[in-house]
Amino acid sequence: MIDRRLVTNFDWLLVALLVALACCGAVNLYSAASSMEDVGTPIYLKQIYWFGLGLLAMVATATVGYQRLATLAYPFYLAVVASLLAVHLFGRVVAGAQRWLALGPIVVQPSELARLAVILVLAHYFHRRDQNEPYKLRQLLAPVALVALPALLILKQPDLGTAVMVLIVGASVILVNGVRWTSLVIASVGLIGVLPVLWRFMKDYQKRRIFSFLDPESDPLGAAYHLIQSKIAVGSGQFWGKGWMAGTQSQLHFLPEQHTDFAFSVLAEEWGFIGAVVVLSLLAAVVYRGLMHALRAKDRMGMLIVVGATASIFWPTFINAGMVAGVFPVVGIPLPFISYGGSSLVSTMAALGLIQGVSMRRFIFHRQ
Amino acid sequence: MTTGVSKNSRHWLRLRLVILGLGFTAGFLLLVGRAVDLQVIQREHLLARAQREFMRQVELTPRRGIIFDRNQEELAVSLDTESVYARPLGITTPKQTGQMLSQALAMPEEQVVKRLKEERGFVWVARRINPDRAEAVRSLELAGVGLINEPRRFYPYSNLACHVLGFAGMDAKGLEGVEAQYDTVLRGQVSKVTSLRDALGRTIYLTPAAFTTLPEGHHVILTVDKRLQYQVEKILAATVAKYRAIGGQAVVMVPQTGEVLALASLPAFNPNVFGRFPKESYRNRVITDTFEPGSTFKMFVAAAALNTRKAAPHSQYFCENGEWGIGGRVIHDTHEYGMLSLSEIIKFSSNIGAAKVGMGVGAEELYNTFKNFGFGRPSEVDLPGESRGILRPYRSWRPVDLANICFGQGVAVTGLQLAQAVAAVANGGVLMRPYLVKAVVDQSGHLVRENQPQVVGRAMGEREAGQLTAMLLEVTQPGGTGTQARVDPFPVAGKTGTAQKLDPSGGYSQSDYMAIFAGFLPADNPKAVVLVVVDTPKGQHYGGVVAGPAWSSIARAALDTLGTQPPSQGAQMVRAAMPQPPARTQPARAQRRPVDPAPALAQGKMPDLRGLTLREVLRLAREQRLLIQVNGWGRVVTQSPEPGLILEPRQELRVDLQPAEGGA
Repeated sequence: MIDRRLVTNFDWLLVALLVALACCGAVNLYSAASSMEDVGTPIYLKQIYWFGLGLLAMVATATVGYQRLATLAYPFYLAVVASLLAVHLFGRVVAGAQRWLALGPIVVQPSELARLAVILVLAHYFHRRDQNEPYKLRQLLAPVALVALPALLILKQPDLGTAVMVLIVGASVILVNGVRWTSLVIASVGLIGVLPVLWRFMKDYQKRRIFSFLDPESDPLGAAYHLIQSKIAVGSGQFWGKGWMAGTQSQLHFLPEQHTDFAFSVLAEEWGFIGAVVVLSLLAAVVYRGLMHALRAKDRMGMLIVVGATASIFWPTFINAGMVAGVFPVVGIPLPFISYGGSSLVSTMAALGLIQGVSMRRFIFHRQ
Repeated sequence: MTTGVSKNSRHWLRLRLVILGLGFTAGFLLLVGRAVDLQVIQREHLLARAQREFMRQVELTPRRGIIFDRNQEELAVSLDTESVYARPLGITTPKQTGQMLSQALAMPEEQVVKRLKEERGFVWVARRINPDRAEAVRSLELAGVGLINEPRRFYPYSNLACHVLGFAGMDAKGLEGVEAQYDTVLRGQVSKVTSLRDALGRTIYLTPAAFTTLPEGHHVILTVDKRLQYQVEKILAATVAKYRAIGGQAVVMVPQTGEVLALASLPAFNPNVFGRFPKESYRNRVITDTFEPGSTFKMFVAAAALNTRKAAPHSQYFCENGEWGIGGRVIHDTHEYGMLSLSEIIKFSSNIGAAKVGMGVGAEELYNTFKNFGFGRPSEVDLPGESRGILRPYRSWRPVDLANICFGQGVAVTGLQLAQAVAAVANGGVLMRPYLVKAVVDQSGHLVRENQPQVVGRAMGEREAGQLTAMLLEVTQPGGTGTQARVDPFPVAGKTGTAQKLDPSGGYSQSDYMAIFAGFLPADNPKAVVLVVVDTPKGQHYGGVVAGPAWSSIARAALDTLGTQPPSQGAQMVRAAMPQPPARTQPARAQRRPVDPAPALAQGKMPDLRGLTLREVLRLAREQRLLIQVNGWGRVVTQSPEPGLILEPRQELRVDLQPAEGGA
């Protein structure tokens, strides 16, 4: 099944972009985590290992092929939902949230797999229905439920960031597949009506973040601390940056979560505007590359999978960089390749593997 | 089963994809725009904010210097102690943390928990705790709780010299006494170092050197002698207790320099725990409180009379048999005196006599003399909070005021002013500025600054000072008011004072007095000036009775401390065998001759003392342990026994002195 064409149609440019991003991420993590206490393997090295694992995942999802994976969409989806439930029951509590599941020596975050599952299951669902007309509201009930179930389970952990990610990636797939304008308007109005309900589900700290986002200077040492510190770090980096390992705000720990959610602030502080734009451009290139593959996809399923995978690069980039720059409230969403996080990196790479798979197979006639 | 995607549908899908792509592009542009905004447009502002955060002018507060006594004994030191702080924002479980902390610190739990719940980045939990507790806190390893080294001021002798030392508060700033007066010296140069600071507020020094070369304050060496101070405090406290007095003061000074050897004020406090004492006890009454000097002031009236040549020691005054009406007021004496010489007026402390002497001098001259003795102006001692006393300008004196002032009513002085003025008499009329700090040395013991004796001015002539000394010597002779202040065998010159306190309701109290004795010894070669004031003694109130014995004990302690030994029998033999330095004389003057009476004495014969000054006679008398009775002033004209007669043990020597004629 490994056709020569598969290798030639493998998107090597995309791989190069990913490697470049991973290098930026590792170099930045070296600096961001340099003042952390030494415990075993340095963070940047771990991130490189995870990237290697991610490459394997990418090759795996690319070679197995999306059609074959799509047939496993439901079982996979059910497995993810089951493991999310398992997290609720037996999960490990880290920093007040129950997100991790220990499988022997490996600790995994099933919520990170939810994105993949949702992309696959939606693509499969829409492909099966093969409906050319935009969807009406009633017809959207099933796909929305498919997205909402894991999202709510994740929200309950609580992990607002990942839940939001699942929701907007799912929404992106649903929207590209087509929704009637009237339905869209009604859905939007309905969503606004749901917001207060969502508000009730939110934890106090999450509410405080929203408040502090709206008026950061009201509580500079409290909830808005992250936001203000990040803005200061990014802004004080100026055009050329302060130099690697020379960021005052990060090295002196003014920045919170500087190797995870706020890794990009460290980068923007130390590498300045130039560094930030380079990394954003690399991410944008990955996104455009994905969109290009979506346009070229030969079937609806392939296209929707690629859209989902691309959205799962774009949205975290947009939200994380926006948060770092003080455009969005603080939500724990990692920046792909730059923030440290194994599960997230591997699942992102697996999604990119799906893109590769779609791209590789665009000329192959598939028989079922 | 699935037939690809229809052309039309494919078109719509592509369109939506393109829209999505445009949306993504808009998103990226928004991000880049924001980066431009923050990193190019707002950069100055944000950079300044960053610098404000991480750069800090750190004040490196050095460890406070030590306060030593004159023999380099430590009276105030800084101990390394630790303080516990917390970062409430970093504590997720204030209840548990507070409970554990409160146990380790033996503090009320609610108090600790309350502090941990404060919405602040930094709070003190307990400051300057003892090492065991610090260790207990350290071993808990609580998140958000830490220890900082914060030196604590410690006064090893508790109350000793508390009013001299004062104390330093929590932030290591001197608040009273020498601690306040020499605060900048003790604290040292607070060096400002620009340092980095991390988000937890911990200082990160730019260079390790900045850390290791933490400046330290300079040490201060006092003029005070710890042992003497201890004895003075003990004696004063015993006297205050004995007479159930409300307070007391004692000062010991070196007349020639103004160095204060001891200074005590009661009530006292413990500077280690000053907070537990009432604020009134912090007051150094010796310099802050003024009182009417009473009869002690007569010596300055006599000084004025002598200095202005309005009277001589033997000048006679009629003392009106104990009752004299002047300006609508009647002045009383305790005894009925008729004619008294100036010397006797001092000896018996006649108010009427003093008033008459003063009136003979006149208001202006009196006023000037008092001023020259330092009254009515601060002594400029190196302690904070000094009072200047009250000496009204002479133009406002009515005759009755003048009379009153002559026995110390209507003027107010501080104990230190009085001691300083008496010291001027002992110092041949030269007024010295009193001081408490001898020197300032740096950490390695190098002298930074030395306080030299400072002459304020001449209060009276040297010869007149000698005359006055002779009169003051009479006070402690039999019949005088100060016989209880004798320190045999040393001759004591002094003056008693029994001042009625002012009644808050107006006029003078009939029950509350200040009992005072001020004087110096040995009269012929003054080593120490001592002042004792007892505030409102009960039972007895006369200065000579109440303050006299305490004065005597303190004066003896002072001489012991200074190493002034009374010549013993053995020492006399040795001294006799040794060549004596010739007595200082001034051959230019008539009736003066170089004398060396010691050889005659050594042979047990009465030497020829004629022509010697009083001071020379007194020195000889002290050295040879002769009892001496002095009349007049100037130089010896007659003596008894006659020169050459065989001396008997403890024979009394009488000399009559007269002013030199045509001299100078």
